[in-house]
Amino acid sequence: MTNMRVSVRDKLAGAVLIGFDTLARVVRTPASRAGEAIRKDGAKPSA
Amino acid sequence: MASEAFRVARPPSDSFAPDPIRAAKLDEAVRLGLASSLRTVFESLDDAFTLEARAAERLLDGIAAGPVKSRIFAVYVDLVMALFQERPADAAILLEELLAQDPAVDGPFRILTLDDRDLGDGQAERYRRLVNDDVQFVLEPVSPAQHSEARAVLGAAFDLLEAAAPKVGDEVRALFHDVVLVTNAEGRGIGGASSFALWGTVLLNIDCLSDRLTAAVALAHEAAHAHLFGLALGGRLVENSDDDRYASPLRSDLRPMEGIAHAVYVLGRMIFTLRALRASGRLSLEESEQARAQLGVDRGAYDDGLATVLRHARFTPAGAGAFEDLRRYMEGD
Repeated sequence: MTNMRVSVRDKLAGAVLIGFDTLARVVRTPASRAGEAIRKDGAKPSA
Repeated sequence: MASEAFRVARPPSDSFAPDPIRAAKLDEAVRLGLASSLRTVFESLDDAFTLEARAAERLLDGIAAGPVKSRIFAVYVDLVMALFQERPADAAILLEELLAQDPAVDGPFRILTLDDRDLGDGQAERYRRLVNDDVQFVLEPVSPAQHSEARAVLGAAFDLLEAAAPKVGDEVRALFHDVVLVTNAEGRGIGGASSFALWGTVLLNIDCLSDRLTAAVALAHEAAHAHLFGLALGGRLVENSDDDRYASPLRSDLRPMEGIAHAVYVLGRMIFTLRALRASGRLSLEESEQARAQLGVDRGAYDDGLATVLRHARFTPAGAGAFEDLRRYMEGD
């Protein structure tokens, strides 16, 4: 017997949802500097 | 799944220079995108979910009406992930949480810390989770004494920006309604953190709030990230896979091109701010020297990062537009 029920996930699969590059990946870019910059070039971190 | 449906016409003029009016328009466009996305989610729900239609409409109207709590964005992200991962019980709880919220912000500009007493039950852990990326860092709340000290420095930083670079400070206030102060003594060090999933909030490490100049540039840095999130309307600047890693101008670890592009653009905004502050004549001699030295470091990092971007980035339309305007500014000096 074939299950004809369409899951919520399937309904959303083709949808455009803000903040999601793909349904599995939310767009996020944590800021980046401080300690890492100190180690990288010995300079004071950029603000 | 790119955000084509929310892409609006590119701003008619240069998108690089800070502008609070444009920032408010970007906030509105992002909110309308959220309302549209939530409507799509609501319409996809089956009978297993209880969705009270009037409560849903009230929420969507509230989101469209004005600045929205970051928690609304965060719950939306968690809800979509729960539905995608087929966790209906979690999704039902998140839906209930979403519909129980008044979406309007609690105030025009708040300075908080990473604590449920400030953010609401369970929110500190949610914020930590949503700002962590591939490399984990440990964020903790600040003490009352640290909070007072940081508040004073932020106040001085905004006063400085108002006098010397008013559009920078006003854009910060248009893009953020909450500053969440954190410490970052353990794990990998960061100066601040932002995520589209917490639109309207910026997390700042108090180590980067040592003086008004450093704080002013930190605010400009974080606002630049949010500006990019807005310009891309929740989408990306580049199409490169996050599996491909490149040298970062600001971090010692290899980063996805999306992070490199953000870093390079943010460096441009920091340089813009440092130049404006130096030119204003409002800095002390010591501050002016500090700004001059920082400009040299940031310019070198910008040039390194831009070379990597130009060599490897495959821009989205939003990224191409942002970098065109960035380079016009940087190459005009």
